[in-house]
Amino acid sequence: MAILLLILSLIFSPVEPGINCSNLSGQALRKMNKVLVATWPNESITCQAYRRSAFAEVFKDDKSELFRLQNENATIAYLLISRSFGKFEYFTYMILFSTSIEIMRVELLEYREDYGGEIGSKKWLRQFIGLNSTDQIVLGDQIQGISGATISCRSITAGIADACNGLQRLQSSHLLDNSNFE
Amino acid sequence: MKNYTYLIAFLAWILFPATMHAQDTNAVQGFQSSLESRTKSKAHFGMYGQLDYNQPFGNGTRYNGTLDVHRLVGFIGYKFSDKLSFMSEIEVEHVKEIYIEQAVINYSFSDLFNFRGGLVLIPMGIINEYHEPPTFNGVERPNLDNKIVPTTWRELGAGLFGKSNSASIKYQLYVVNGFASYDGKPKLKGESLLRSGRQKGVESLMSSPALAAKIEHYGINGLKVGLSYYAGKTQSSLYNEMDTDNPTAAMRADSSVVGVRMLGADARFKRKGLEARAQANYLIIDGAGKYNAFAQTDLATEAMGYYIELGYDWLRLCHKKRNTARLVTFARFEKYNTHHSVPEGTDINPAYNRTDLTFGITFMPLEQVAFKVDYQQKSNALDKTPANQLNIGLGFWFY
Repeated sequence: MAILLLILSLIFSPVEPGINCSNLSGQALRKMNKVLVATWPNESITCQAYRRSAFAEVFKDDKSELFRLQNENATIAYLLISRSFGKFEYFTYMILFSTSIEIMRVELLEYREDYGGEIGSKKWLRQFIGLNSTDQIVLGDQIQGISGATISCRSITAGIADACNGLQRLQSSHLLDNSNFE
Repeated sequence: MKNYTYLIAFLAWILFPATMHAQDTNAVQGFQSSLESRTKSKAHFGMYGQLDYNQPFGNGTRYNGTLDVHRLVGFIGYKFSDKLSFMSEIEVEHVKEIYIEQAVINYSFSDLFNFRGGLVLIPMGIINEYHEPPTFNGVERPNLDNKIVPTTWRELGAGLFGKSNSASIKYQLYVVNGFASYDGKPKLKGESLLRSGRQKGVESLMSSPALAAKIEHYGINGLKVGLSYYAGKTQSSLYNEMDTDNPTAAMRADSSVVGVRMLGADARFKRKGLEARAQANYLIIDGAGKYNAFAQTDLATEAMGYYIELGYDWLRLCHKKRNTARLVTFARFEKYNTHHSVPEGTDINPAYNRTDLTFGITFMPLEQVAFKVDYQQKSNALDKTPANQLNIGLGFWFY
């Protein structure tokens, strides 16, 4: 009986592994954690939210949340969870930035519409890895679009460029220090 | 007693995090719902339109031009919840014909599995699904997507669609009602094949279902390729209230339908300023001989066609990086034959073996508005002298 319950509990484990920085849930949370585990497989990561008021002043938008990821009190990356508009609905994505504000990874967390979801393609999102300047993050130039998903490609590309720019401005203004993280 | 202890412990272990989660639900909903309340409402509306001027030319013959509000189509959609939505397209063609182009309920189980039911767009070729004027070159849609893929091809049915982000693949699979080949009078003919058999959701008759499927791959940057398949018998009103013990009635009904199998392959490529498209379709009609005898017409056994289009956006050469304006010059070569092979008793009509050449310019000051000019040379195997036509058009969409 005990063994049966143990097996069942392993199969139907209700506890969501990993960390939950943002108010994500369900599939979006699972996707975010999968990315974090894949990037730092054996490390224990903590997450601190950036003060929203200070963030909104610089980014001038309330569609993004910024977090600092740390391992044993050393900052290893910044995580931005942002939302951009497709044709009719918002979609949610995450961007991992290195401490020098270079894009490490982009992942689509939630896409609500029936068309344009191709931007979730992991292969397509790899185009952004290593970029650190808004001059590089331009659709039709360094970033190739996806036929039939131009609206969402343009929207996420602009969102990523804005995020890069905003985070670099925060860093150059010394606003990424401890006092701004909760 | 021991067994109950384990069971209680197990249930507590399962349920405890659930109660914690429930307490967090308000916090979870907080950000999402406040965000959504700042977004557009659950109902959304958009529109696209196509206005044309077509001017034929001919050696020694004068022609009038035609100006037409070819299409005005409104999108109306509603988001019932995160997973359940409704989408429709209501179309007014040539100012006085009103149709529904799409009316579906979608339910999302996951990225990979989504349900769609209603009046669905058949996933065959590029234009049938992506036909908003600013998304294609040329004033008119390619003729391949008129004669062989009878666009806008939509029928009532239901099925699944989804995508895989790791494989960069998306798919659609529907069961739909088929073309009507007889509804009191025969509907299909050799020049336009299945086009007149489209039921478009207008009190469609159904005597047997059809299958429509497409798979697309977009893993290579800039390239999207698709493969489509359609199979089913056409529908006939002669099956309605048919006495199943009457072999003559059954034979007559069977002669009024044909089997349809269509294959499609399409590709779209974009890199910097270069854009290219290609599509090929192959159609097999089973029972065309019997149908032609029944309907006194000239339906083919096989039809096929393809087109290749190349374009270049010259504004990409200017370094205005975030500007979405486009100035594209393009050329399209199309070959389509609705009489590739015919059944015994029917003669091949060489006039149905057509070649069209289109050269044009598309100017888009922004992504949602297109001014188009193109020149077409249309010829066929019977009359090698091309009929020429100048087209000027305005296309737009907003959402």
